[in-house]
Amino acid sequence: MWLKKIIFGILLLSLAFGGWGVFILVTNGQEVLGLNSFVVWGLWMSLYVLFASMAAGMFAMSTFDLLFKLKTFAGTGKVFLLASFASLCAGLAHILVNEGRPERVINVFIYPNWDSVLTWSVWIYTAIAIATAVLLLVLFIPERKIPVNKDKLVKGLMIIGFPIAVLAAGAVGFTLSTQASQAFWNEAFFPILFPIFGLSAGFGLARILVAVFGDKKSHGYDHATRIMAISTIILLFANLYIIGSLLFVSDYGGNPAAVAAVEYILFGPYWYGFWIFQIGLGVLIPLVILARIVLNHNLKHKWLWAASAGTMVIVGTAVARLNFIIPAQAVAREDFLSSPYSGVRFAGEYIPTMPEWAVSVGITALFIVLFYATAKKMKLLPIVFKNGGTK
Amino acid sequence: MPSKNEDSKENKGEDQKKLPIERRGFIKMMGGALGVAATAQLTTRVERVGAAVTPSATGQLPDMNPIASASGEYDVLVRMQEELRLAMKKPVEERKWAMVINLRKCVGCHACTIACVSENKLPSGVVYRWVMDEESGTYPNVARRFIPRPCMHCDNPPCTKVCPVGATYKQVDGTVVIDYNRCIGCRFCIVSCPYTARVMDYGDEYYEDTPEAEGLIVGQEQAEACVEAPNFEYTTKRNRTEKRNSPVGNARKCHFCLHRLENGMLPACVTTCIGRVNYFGDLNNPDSMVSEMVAQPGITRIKEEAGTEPSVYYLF
Repeated sequence: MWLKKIIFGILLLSLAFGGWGVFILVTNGQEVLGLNSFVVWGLWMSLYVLFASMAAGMFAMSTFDLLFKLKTFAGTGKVFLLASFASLCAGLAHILVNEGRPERVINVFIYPNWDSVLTWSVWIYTAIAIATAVLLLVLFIPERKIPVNKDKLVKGLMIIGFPIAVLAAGAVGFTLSTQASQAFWNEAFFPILFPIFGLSAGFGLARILVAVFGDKKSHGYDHATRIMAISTIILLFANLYIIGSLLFVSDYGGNPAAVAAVEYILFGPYWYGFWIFQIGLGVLIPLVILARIVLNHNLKHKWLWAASAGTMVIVGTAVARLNFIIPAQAVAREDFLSSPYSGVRFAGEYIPTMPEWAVSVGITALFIVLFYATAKKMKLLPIVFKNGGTK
Repeated sequence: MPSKNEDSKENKGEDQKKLPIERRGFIKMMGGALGVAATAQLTTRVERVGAAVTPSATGQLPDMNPIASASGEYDVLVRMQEELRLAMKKPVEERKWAMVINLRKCVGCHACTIACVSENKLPSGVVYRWVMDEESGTYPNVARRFIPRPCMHCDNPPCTKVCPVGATYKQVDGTVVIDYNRCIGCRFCIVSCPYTARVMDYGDEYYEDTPEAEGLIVGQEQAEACVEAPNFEYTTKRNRTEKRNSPVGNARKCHFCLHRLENGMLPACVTTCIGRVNYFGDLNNPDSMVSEMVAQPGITRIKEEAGTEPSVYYLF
């Protein structure tokens, strides 16, 4: 009980902090940001990518129950889908505040440039958001009020939604990899990398949800947590392999900009972000915890272990996003740095300012609160693992 | 009996009368010679200056070409100005603006950068045309090279492709422009440009932290008034106010001073350059200066391997 109060207290403070950040942003404009003319995509873009790809990962996880009817995940579909929607909304909120003229975002729908990968990303994420919202509506409405067979309708919507979710997860990868001017990004790997990272973040979030809200006495809980732990371990190894390949290929290729980006990530001023947070906290420690959970039956019921592992995976994935997006920009402007033209906006370094952190913390807290309130209202919590289908 | 002093004075006078005529004469002669020489020089200088301003024998004012040299050669700006006016008479789709930068003459004064900032009233954090300053070699064989970098106005621009709303596009005259009213500030174009030609206007101002100085022409109040005075980019009057209207929150970049072209004037950087480094004109005119420059050996474009087909050429 005391823990619940502490968490609510933290969420309340976070909302207040976020409110302050939004106030500063609205009254002062984007000059309060730490971005500059080289690093134009920073914390908010990275968190948009994290939340959006995590939403795609959670959507994929919800299909295990709602579409593929996997017994192991029976009873989890609705809550995972709700988490997917909350995560997507958090991501879209981040990209909205990131725009220089957020009031004109509607222009993407009025004047779409179909040559732009970003246009496709916006439209796909909008489609995913609508599909998820419709699915949730259908799932929450009593069957008697729906003129068609509810199960078939849900299945049909999931069949449409699943490939879109996969596309959505890769969309950001396409956005980055199609930039020939950024040697570190201009890899065919990125559209593959992002869905896998999204899936691992999705599994991380699922671990937290199951650990915190899972009914440990329900039939199937132990088996589900074991499968999720093993899946997360496999995904973390896949992440390690992908990160290693990306860094090795970029460095070995010898392109100066790509090599500079790799060195910035590994040995630059924020080296600890990669080694300590992304690899240590985000991969190695969760691997150890999850392995212990798999091998030690008693740990499955100790929610703190699984929640910690899930949180660390998400934090590691978030830092990975920062490492993909920021260093490439920071080093790609070497030409300009030879100019004596100076100013805050022409520095190569980027450090998120307090208002940036505040807005991100506030958005995250807001959607956590909204998710929890909705899940409680729709009686999705605690998460009861069932065999043989949905609630 | 005269006093000793009086006696001294008299003696001095007689002594002076007795000075060898050579010394006094020499001084006078030299003075005269110098005077003649000075007069001659002065006359020559006056004649040289007078060549520009001396009225003609007919009484009419001479052809007032203040930058015409004594040998009759015209400053390149005059020629480019005339070519510009010729091009502006053509339909817009028949023009193809291009710029040639002669790096052999650039001295790195950055006047072009400042002229651009002044012409377009660029705020803090925004620069359209910056100059690379590269050092090479090891002592004693060292060199410096200056490379002005405006927007390249590429024929295959990566920036126009990535804009989600089509706010940035290539006009028929070859310039790549930004519609400030449509741009959503996503900054995708900034990331996609391989030339660091684009910047983001975050709304910074030079007068921030300027102290108040009531009643003086300096101080924050006057600075604000100066900043809020309109600029005329894209021939549109835009005031920079506290409402943070566009182009605050937009991507911005060099546009070849289109508002000046429309009024028959060369871009500010071209006009300002002390070394006449920049050549600007219509590439569709085979007789234009830029067409002649582009045909020269030693002409190149930056990052051509990117396939962007820049419209800015460099003479190395």
